Amino acid sequence: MENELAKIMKKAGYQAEPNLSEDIWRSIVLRQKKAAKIKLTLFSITSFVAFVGAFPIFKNLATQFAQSGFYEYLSLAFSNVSGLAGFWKELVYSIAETLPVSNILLSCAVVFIFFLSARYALKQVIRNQELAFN
Amino acid sequence: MSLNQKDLDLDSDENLILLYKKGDREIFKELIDRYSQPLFNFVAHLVGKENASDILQEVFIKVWKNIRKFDEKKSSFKTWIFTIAKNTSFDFLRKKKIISFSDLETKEGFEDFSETVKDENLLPDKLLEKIQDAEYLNELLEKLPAHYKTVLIFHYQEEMTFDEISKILDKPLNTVKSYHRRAILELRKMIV
Repeated sequence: MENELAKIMKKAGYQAEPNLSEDIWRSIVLRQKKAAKIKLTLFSITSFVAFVGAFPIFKNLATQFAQSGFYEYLSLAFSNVSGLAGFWKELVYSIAETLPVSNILLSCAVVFIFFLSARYALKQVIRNQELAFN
Repeated sequence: MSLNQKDLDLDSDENLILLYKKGDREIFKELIDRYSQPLFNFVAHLVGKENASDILQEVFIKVWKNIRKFDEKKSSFKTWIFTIAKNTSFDFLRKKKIISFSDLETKEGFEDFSETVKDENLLPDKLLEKIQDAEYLNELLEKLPAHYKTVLIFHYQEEMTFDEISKILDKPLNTVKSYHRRAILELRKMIV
């Protein structure tokens, strides 16, 4: 019974339209293109915002360095190299204390976000180029 | 280690997926070509031929979105893709209220003569002769409950074992065997 029923059942299968696979593939490519465009827009905006935001952050960082006395301590280190041996530890601590840590971290974060989003945006451009050939 | 199409046996679905995961996006088309016909047949039997293309598109989009999550250690790709097709079709039927959730859970306690008839006598040759016409058989299949229909299609058209079917339906093996038996008996009833 099993074999006979299998033969009959196979004859009863529904046939898909000949271009169904092609249509499905095309709709997936379209979705990929759309997703790539959305990602490209988002990453471009993020990298642009990070780039523009970097200017005031770096300006603030430079001001913080100037106000904290960091440059003074640093010039002291170079102006009296021979006498440095006696108090180098204190000098290193003082330099470290004057570092505007939060501003440095913020600047690093902005640079990181900029490069990361720029990298992903570039990736999406390449992806769009690949999909354009499909 | 880089992989390319020459290194792998492309008859294996798992190798195609491996290549896809390595960045060969075009290989997904091969999977569509390979599965669109059997999936269309299955989906068309469940949701009707007129809705099958849309459901199938939805199935492949789900596959495309989740292909990175596919784990060949858990199941074969065939089992996985048919599970997605089954779930998508059942969701569609539920949304359209063509069947309720309880209808998908077929009635237990089907304790008539089904348990006493031997498997090989369920559909004797005389009855099989009556369903030689494909359209007539399709009509009969459409009248069957979703799970019964699914078991028959998987077992006879897709040549799946009951074990594979039990994984797709997420039912114990004995339940699937029971569905199969009851499906044949329902067919028998309709033919007679």
